[in-house]
Amino acid sequence: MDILKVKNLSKVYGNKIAFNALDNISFTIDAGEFVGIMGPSGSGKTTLLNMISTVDKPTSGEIRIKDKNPLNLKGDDLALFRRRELGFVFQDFNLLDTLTVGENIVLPRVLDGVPVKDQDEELNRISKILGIENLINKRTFEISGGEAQRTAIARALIHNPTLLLADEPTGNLDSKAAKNVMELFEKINKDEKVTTMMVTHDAFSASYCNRILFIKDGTMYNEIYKGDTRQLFYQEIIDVIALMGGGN
Amino acid sequence: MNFREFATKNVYRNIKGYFAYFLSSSISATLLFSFTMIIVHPDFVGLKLPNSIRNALYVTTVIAYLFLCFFVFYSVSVFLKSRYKEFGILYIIGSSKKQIQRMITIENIIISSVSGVVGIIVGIVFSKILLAASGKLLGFKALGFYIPVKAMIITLIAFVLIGVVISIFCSFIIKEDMVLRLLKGTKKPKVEPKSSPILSIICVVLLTVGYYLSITSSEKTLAYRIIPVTIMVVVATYLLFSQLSVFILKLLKKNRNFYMKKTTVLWVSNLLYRIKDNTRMLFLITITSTVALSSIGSVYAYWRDKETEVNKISPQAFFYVDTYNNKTKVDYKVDFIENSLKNEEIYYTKVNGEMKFVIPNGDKDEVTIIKEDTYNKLAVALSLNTINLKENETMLVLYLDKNKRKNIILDDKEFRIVRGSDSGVIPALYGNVYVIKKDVYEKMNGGKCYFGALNVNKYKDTLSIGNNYYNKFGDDQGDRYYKNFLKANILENIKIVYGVILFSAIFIGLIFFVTTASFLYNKCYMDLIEDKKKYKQLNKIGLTYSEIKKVLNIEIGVLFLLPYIIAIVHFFFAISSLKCAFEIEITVPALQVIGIMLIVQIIYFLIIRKNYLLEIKKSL
Repeated sequence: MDILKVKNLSKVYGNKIAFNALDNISFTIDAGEFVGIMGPSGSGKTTLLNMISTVDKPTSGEIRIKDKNPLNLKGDDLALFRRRELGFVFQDFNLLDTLTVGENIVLPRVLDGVPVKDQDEELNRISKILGIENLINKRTFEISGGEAQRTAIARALIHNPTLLLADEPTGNLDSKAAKNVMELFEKINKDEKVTTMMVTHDAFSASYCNRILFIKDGTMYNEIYKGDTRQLFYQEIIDVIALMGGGN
Repeated sequence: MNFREFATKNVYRNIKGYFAYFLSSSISATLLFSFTMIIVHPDFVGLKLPNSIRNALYVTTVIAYLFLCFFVFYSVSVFLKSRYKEFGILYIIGSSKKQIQRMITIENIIISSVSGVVGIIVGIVFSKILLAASGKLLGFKALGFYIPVKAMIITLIAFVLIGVVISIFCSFIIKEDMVLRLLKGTKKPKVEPKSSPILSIICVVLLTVGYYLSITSSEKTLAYRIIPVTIMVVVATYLLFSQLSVFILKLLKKNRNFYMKKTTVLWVSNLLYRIKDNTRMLFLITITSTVALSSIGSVYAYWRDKETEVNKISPQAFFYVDTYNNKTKVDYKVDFIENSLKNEEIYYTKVNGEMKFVIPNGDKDEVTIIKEDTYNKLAVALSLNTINLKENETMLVLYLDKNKRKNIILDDKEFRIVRGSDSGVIPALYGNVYVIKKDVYEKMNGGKCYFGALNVNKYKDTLSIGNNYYNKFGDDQGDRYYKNFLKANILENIKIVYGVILFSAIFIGLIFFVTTASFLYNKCYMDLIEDKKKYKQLNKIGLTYSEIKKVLNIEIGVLFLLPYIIAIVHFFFAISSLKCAFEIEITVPALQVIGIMLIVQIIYFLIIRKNYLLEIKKSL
């Protein structure tokens, strides 16, 4: 079953001097997939993510997330769509430092008006999966970057989203924490069957995906699937990047 | 945790961020409360004030209230802007507009009501001082301390209302797509500010013309100049911040020997953006400060001028006029005052006399004429020189000798005008007074009045006699032919009236200054977050703390002092026009006002600068 379907998506910036940030991109993501989007700086991968995450609107084209078109939603419906169907993980975590780790995680459920008892149960479940049970009462400035990212992932997952969107989730982490976080993504994708789309330019992080789409200058450049091992996949990614040129 | 708990946690765990906003709300509440407390003070309400003054006071209160509203609104918008990231996070994890609206409403209502309460408490603590000060200014015994229930209720209701109104307006400030884009880091770098040489020249021209017109205005021209000059200066001020400043900074940039030298490169390029970004704020501060300074300055100048004015209104301590037929009535009333003076053993001089009202040939307005010997008697009593006129001469006694006419025809007889002393001998109400020879006077046709004048050296001691007079005869008077002048009582009334105006002008001015100062504080607090990052990076590549200090001194200095300096220059020209037009002494009061203002601003600047540098230093 398709979870995400992107069809002929284009985005043009500027009026006088038009700049095609995205040019006729189409792809689909099936349920349970873990897809990476890679491409050099300025290739349009962030633009693509912004559009799928309903932050930005395309110039033309279509997006379907589980048979809904988020581009047609407005106001509260859009808010509800984000709240129920999408989960977000950012490079710089974006946690609220006025809240504790636990409070940050359950915030989407608080917004949804879920009873406290259910909030606690869900928090319990998700924090166990992510191994942060003992951090729940800490404040955000008391935890490390890796822990903050795990908190952010927990927040993105607490409502069982249809699609988990991650934007350079390891960008601010050291290699050990990055490995740890990527293993978590892999684990929740396998165990919890969370469909995930991740934008990254780090080949190591990308090697945890099942499939990688390469974008260059706003168009689809290549697509590769994970073979037997992560190590081999990593090598393949490096090769494509080298071929594609233009840095990472 | 439910949504309400979330909202409250959000506030009390981030008290520091809310503090600046809370502080400005509380200051506003304190000011509003103090002002209302005086206005509704029972002693003050019982005061006999002319209706116009009382209405003016109500208008003032409304203006003060609107300005405070605007100010609180501004603070909240600055505060909300600093929280865009937080709103972005909330939006992206799916909160609806309604929920964010609700959160802001809860916060605002809590903050404004708490500010209201804090304002009332602080206001009560300071009320004793304030009441004493207002009493001293208003020129009567200090208003008593009281528990101002009415003022409390007004302030509280006002601030709860502000909270509600602001919450409604918040949805206009926070645009969902904007905060989201901010969160996703698609922020575009700022484009370099542009300036137009033509507009910069227009700015200089408008300022020069405006200033020139204001210092050359006279009583007559002021009336029709005031509006165009004001518009010119306001437009010029806006252009000054939006165009001229950018233009000058760009010129500095072009001079590479100057620009590319040490820290200059930093402060010039920073200022370029800072002034442009803050154009509207700097403009508003300059204009409000000019308005505040001008109103305080002119009212203060008038207030200082009031005793001179009273001397003009009534040269004698007591002056009583009635038509000649009622001569006995005049004598009876003057006798009453005379007896009172005798009882209190106050030395006095007494002059009785008459005056006639004649319309000069070819004129529309009546002039007053008196006999030479009456003038001399009055002059002796007031220690002025006596005169000796010829048959065809008349002496003109004027307060404002504007017309330069040489001759006047009174009752078909031509007189040559001699000009003598410019101190009047009868009340200013009688306008131009012509003194003529006794026998000429007797032949002249015109309405005749009889007056009795009593003079004492220290007229201020005769207030109680005046009050007794009013108790006995009432304040019965009509037009200029039937009038009484009790100098001590006139002074007392003027003191109260001008005192009230002065007091409200100072108060409004205070509100303007305090609020604009906290505008700046808020703005600085916002910039600080970015500056910390910037200077940390610059420090890494080798910029020393003392160099950072140098750059920030100039940057903050310009931001904090420039609008006030321009306001002072505007004020200087505005009040100069008053001097030219109304001939009141303004140099001393103007310098006093400017001096106080500058001292306060510089102290404020030093405090802000110290804190700012401290914060930057900590982050290095």
